This record gives sequence, C-alpha cells and structure tokens, in this order.
Amino acid sequence: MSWTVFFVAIFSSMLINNVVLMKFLGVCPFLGVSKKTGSALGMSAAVMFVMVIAAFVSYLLYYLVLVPLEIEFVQTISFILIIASLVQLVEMIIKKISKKLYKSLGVYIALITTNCAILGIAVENITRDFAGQYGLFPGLAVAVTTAFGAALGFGLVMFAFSTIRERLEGANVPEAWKGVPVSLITAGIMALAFAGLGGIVG
Amino acid sequence: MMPAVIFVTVMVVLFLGTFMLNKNTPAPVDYKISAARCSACSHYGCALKQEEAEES
Repeated sequence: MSWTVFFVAIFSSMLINNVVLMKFLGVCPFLGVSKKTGSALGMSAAVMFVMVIAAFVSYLLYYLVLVPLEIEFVQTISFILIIASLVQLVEMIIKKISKKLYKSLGVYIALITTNCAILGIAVENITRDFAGQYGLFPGLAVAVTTAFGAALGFGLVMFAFSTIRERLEGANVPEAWKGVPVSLITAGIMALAFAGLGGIVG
Repeated sequence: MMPAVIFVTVMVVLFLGTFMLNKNTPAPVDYKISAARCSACSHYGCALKQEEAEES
C-alpha cells in the first residue's frame, strides 16, 4: 500500500467529500458554534480529538467483535454508545491530566456526543470496506487517516465560516436577512464552492 | 439474537459507568465557563443552554 492512499484519503475527506458542506453532517455545531472564531477553533479541536479516537475504536469493535459474533445489525447503536462512552472518558481524562486543555476544550467536549459527523465517519469507514480493500490493520490506518482528514475539513469550514460570520456582524445586511438567514445563504455558497472540487481525485 | 442483547447491554453498562465516573470527577478548581465563549454558541445539545432557556 503506497503513501498515495493516505494522501488521497486525507485530501478527499477534507476537501472533496467535506463532512459538513458535501455530506451535511455536523451542521448543528457548524451553525451553532461558529459565531466567534475562538469558539469555532475550540470545537474543531475537540471534534478532531474525538473523531480520530472514535474511528479507531469503532473500526476495531466492528471487525473484532461484531463480525465474529455475527451481530453486525447492532452496528449503529453500538457506535452511538461507544462514541458517548468515549466522550465521557476523554472528558474525564482531560479533567485529570490537563487543566489547560480542559479550559480550552471542556465546554465543547460534551457537545460532541450529539455531533452526527463523528457517527457518520465511523459508519462510513465500515461501509467503504477498508478492511476488504487493504486488509484489517492497513485498513485501520486508512480509516483513521480518513477520520483525521474529515476532522481537518470540519475545522477548515468552521474556521472559514466563523471568520465570515464575524465580518457579517459589521456588514450592512438588509434587516430581514440579518442573523441566521444570511448565515445560511453563506453556508450554501460555501457548499457550492466545495462542490466545485468534486472529481479532482478520480 | 442473544449475543446482540448481551452486547448492547454491556455497551449500555459501559456508557453508564463512564458517565458516572465522569460525573464524579471534579473539574479543575478554578475552572469557570467563560460567559463570552458561552454566548458565542447556540448549540441545542448543550445542557447549559437548556437550563438557561428553562429559567427564562
């Protein structure tokens, strides 16, 4: 397996199949936590942290537990529970080991339980059958890389959108468009721009 | 069917266990949620926001 696979996995999940603007997952934090750039970056960092760990754990759980027991049909509920448990665990560990990290991510970590982008990437890693294509453990590396790329893509659009929203606050926007309407129009234009990247990797 | 029921039960117990552990772990002593950062967020899943909405 060449390094190209990892490069394509990162590039494609970050820009071409962007989790927010192309798959419309994680739209709630995208709209909810993007009023200020600082908050957007905090949320992005927390999502990156949990998304990569969740992809790793859910992939192993599926192939080492669900498949041997032939209970693949409980995949979704088990991923939801494993992500919820991971979020609790990560929050607890951060509380214990790093006061500074807890100060910067603490508010956002709990919100990740409701972030469907995390579940979406975990499910997609299974649907795309990386284990079948590359083997169990090389497939795990590709799955984790894909999750990392998706988290980078989430961070990129959160940062871009938050800077645009900060500028929009001072802009001369028609009264009826102020607030959410103009934000949604902006998000739509951003999605169109990202759609233009489709087809770069064949 | 039985392995699925046992597996899901184990997962639920695991979640409840981590939830209780996290709840019983105290936050750093001088930790306070910044009001400015909180007002910059309108995430519907946030418990603080829900409490605020109920109070008002």
